[in-house]
Amino acid sequence: MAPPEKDMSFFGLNRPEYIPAPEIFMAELAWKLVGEKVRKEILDNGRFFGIAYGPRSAKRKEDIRLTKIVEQTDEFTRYSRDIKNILCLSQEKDADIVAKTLSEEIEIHSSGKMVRTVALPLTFEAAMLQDRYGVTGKRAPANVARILEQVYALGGGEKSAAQVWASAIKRASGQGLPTWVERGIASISSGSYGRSSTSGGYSNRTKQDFRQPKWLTKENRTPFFWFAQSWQRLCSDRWINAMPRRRWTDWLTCIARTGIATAYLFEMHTVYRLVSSLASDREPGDVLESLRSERSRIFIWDERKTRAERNVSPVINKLVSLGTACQKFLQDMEDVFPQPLKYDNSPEGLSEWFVAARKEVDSRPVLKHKIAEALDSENVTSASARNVGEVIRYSLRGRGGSQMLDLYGMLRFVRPYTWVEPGQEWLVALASLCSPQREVPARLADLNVSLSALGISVSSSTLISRLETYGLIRSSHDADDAIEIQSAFY
Amino acid sequence: MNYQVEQENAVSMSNKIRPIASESANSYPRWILERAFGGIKVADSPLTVEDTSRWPSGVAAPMAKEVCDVLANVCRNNGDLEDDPSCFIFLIGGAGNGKSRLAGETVKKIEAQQTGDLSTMFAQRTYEFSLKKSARTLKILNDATIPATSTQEHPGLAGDIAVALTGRQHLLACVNRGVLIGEVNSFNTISKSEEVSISRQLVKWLMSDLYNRPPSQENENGTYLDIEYDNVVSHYRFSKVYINKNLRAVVHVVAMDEASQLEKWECGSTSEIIQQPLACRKLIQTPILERKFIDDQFAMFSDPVVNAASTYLQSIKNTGSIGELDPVVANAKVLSSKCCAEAWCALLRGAEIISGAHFTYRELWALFSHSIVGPARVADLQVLRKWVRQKVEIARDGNSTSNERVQAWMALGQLRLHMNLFDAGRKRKFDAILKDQYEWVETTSEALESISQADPLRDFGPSDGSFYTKILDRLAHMEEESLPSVSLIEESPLIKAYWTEFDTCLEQSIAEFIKPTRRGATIKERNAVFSWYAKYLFRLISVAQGWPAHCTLINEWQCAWCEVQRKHRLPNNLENAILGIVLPLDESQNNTYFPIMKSRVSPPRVDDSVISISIPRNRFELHAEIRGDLIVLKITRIGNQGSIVAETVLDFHLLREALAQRHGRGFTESLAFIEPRIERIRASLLTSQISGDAQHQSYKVTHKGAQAHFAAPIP
Repeated sequence: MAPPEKDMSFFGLNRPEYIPAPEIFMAELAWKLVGEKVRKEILDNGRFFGIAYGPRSAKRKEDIRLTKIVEQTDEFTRYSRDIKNILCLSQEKDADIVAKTLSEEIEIHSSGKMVRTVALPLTFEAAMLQDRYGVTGKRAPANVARILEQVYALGGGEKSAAQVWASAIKRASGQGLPTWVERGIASISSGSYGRSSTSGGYSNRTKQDFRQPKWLTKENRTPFFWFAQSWQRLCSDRWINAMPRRRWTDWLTCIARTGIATAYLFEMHTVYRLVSSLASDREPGDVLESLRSERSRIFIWDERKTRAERNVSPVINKLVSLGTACQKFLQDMEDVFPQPLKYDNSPEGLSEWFVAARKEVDSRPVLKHKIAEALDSENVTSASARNVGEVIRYSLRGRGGSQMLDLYGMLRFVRPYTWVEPGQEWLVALASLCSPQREVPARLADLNVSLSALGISVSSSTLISRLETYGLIRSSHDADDAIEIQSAFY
Repeated sequence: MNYQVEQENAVSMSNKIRPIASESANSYPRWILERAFGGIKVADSPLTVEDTSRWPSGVAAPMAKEVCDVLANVCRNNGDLEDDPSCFIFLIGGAGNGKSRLAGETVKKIEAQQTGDLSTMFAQRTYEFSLKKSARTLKILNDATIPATSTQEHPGLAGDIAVALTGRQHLLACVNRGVLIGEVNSFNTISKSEEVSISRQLVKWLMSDLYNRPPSQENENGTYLDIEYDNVVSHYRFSKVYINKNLRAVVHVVAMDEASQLEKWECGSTSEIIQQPLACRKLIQTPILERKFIDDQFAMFSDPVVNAASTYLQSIKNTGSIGELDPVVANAKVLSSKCCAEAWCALLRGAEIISGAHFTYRELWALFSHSIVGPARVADLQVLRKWVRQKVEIARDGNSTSNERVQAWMALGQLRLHMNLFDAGRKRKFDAILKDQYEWVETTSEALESISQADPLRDFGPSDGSFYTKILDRLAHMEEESLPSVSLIEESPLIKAYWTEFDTCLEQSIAEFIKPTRRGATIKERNAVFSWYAKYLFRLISVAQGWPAHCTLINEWQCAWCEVQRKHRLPNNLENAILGIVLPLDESQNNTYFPIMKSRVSPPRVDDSVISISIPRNRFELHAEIRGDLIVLKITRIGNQGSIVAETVLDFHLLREALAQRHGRGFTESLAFIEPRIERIRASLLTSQISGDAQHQSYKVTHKGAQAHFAAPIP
């Protein structure tokens, strides 16, 4: 899909919706590569509208195809026989045990409210055991693959996120996940679909489908840049071969959910600040400078403060409602203001857009009133704002029945407060991926750059004590920003 | 490269423009605060080293002075010709380890003349000096965190080295490790310049101890790095730079932060031969419970402590003193005693080991100052001295009530060294019994955090508990007017050396207050005072004896270090205990199984539905090596060309946990500190096992009580 000809947004991001399981990022990337034609065939050309792995409630939607192989079915018998052959087992009883356990081991439910489960995207075939329609149960859910690719492209990622991920998995066959498990998962997939889901291969779509404003790609402290860089690093052979595939997949999912959520937060902050500044007298240079400075400390992470002091809910709510209101304002005024899209090719595009838009405001005083009206509508939460807010909140919060089990959340939530308290693996993954080479340590300064790209300002004492507890640094008093952070995996 | 500006920059100016405040009789001498936390003389630059300072010079890190002497000899040599190889010295380490001081001393020794920009007083990235007896120049790279001038063709440290190579300069570079990491990560492009390309190789080699991947020797056009002396010890390395087959530089590298100043190292002599590696001085570690402080020196830092404390004691006396009843005087007196200074160093050494930290010179002097005058600021010293005099008057005043006297003594007692170290400036719960103690400004620092972990109140004395019982016994008799100190001083020369007139008066006052026959105090008040004194005495004895908290464990850790240094492996029982933590046996006690698809790699429970793989202990080997002050553990896979699967440091917490397991005592609070690391090591072992030979793979699948065992299919 080519970029739209008319677009009043700054980043070309689709409007998102609540993402019930971050694993659908990989599912959608896989489907994107395989193509819609294959999906339609698998959906029996309209008999089903979506795919999920297993049921979690008694209410079954008949039009969603479930791919988990159920015991005491012909499919299970065939699947168990496959396992017996793959493992050269002599006893059918053993093959049954392995088959049942494998199909359960790859099954997860990311949140307590999910009505269908997903399969861990440990392999390409496993990722295709579900799609966004089946997991959300919606006929027209947000296209998360497109969002992910757009964020990746905005960060200057090479090729496409889907290609980088798929080729990493392909190259790493037998590393971090036994080959027989890969074959077992392929058997689940082919049993469910009655065919090999990847028999047609996959396409080579490139990032040129997406917007890449030059004024943005030159910045390295943005969630887009952080996401693209981390994704590429993690998808290198050095990383995928160094850790169990489950851990690698969890890290990748963590990067995806953090990247998407902070990208929308970044978008909301940018559009709100720019539109609100159009009505002010501040110099464009000052506006952009304070925009950069503010967005690196949207969240404060300081464990010395109380939960109430650290509560980030008001910040998220305000940015989301004002940002959405400002975006709608621009959309409504598309005949008045220049399109940000037209400035994508200029390294100073954002500044140029702002000057041009300010000119319009200066020439039509009524626009100042309209901006004020748009900003006044912050308390009227639109459906769009609610969706963006949910994506941000639920992607960043720890998930699961017991939140402490989710080691990949960035925020913690205990009613009524939400505050920055990253799970152990969130910080371990983030810190490890700060270094361009796995073998070379990163520095505290590098981690601070990553955190500020995500809008987090953190006190040194908080960060150092966490890193020490997680065994990533050894105390090195006086080294300050030069404190070395060891890679999590040797 | 502006991510960090070393403290040197900020402070070196202060050295020049803020003279030491004049001393008066109303104040404790203020010069002690020059090197306190945040003091004005915590940093040097090559141009600001003073000869007249009241502060004694510490001993430079092992090999640091030796390599600087080599450079000084070369620079003073009449026959130093331009075609001769340059001498490159790299002093590597964090801030506060004495790199700049050493550079300054070397410049003085050479009597070189500074050239270039002399107009600025601010610290600079590089300084250049002309040599008296040679046409060559000496370049000192003092702070690589300061950005290079825009005129330099290639940025960064490698650019500086290339310039020195091209200009045939000698080079003394003080390099922060963070600079090396940033530099190596920035080598994205290929340089056509031989000098730049060999300089980059050199920088990679400089940091290779950080990630164990020595760069391969390249030999294009006869340009290469000849690594002659490496991996024998990690604190000194030597190599030669050849360009077009010509020897262009000899390189001596010293890691300044690998040896603890609270231990010793071998003595050695300086070599006159510049093209050869120096004989390396080995580090020595003396377990703290084996140190006989009365007889010998065990810490390099103890001499400077004695000298500085003696000078300070004399300064106080010169400004009028009330003698040893002043706790500040008592503190200075104690540290001016050799055996007390040694014991103080042993306690700090314990704090280093427990926290896994390394005290720099800067921190050690700050702790010295903190021990004597607490976390005082310049303005406090006058107030403090007045306050102390008033309290001593109350304490000695016969007209004061017993309660007033004991309160005054306790308030003063809070200023004694062993209380200052752990309490002064720290945020603590309100202690109701201390009604009028000196109000310190709240002070936090990493070093003080480390010290607090060695507080003897957390764990007192050797683990056999005999001393603990003995002190409890002596304290129990205090109410019967039998003073604990009398017998303790007799029995221990270290306690005797530490004990002062102040402590005697304090103890007598306490004894008088808690006397059961005395009226005027409730049992609760007596108990509170008694409890405070017990805390005071336990700490006093620990500091006097050089016993940090967990001193037996610390001793064991040091013994393990010595064993690894001697035999290049851990004692068998410790090795097994560590393997037992990493690879715990399953319920059958025969094998270790890890789940292959769970989010965390930990042994599965019996009732889990899980696919797990066997991790046979005999497929992995645990190696130990000394890297400076660290014990580094490496797990390798047998039959895979010894490739390293996982690496970690045997620190205090891992040792504590291993010993607890060895003795069957379950687990300790250290488990929380090591669990994330251990889990990642398990994940690495799991990856290695999955990716290894199929013929060594054995799986167990459990599902609702049923089990299946099978070997991996051979492809």
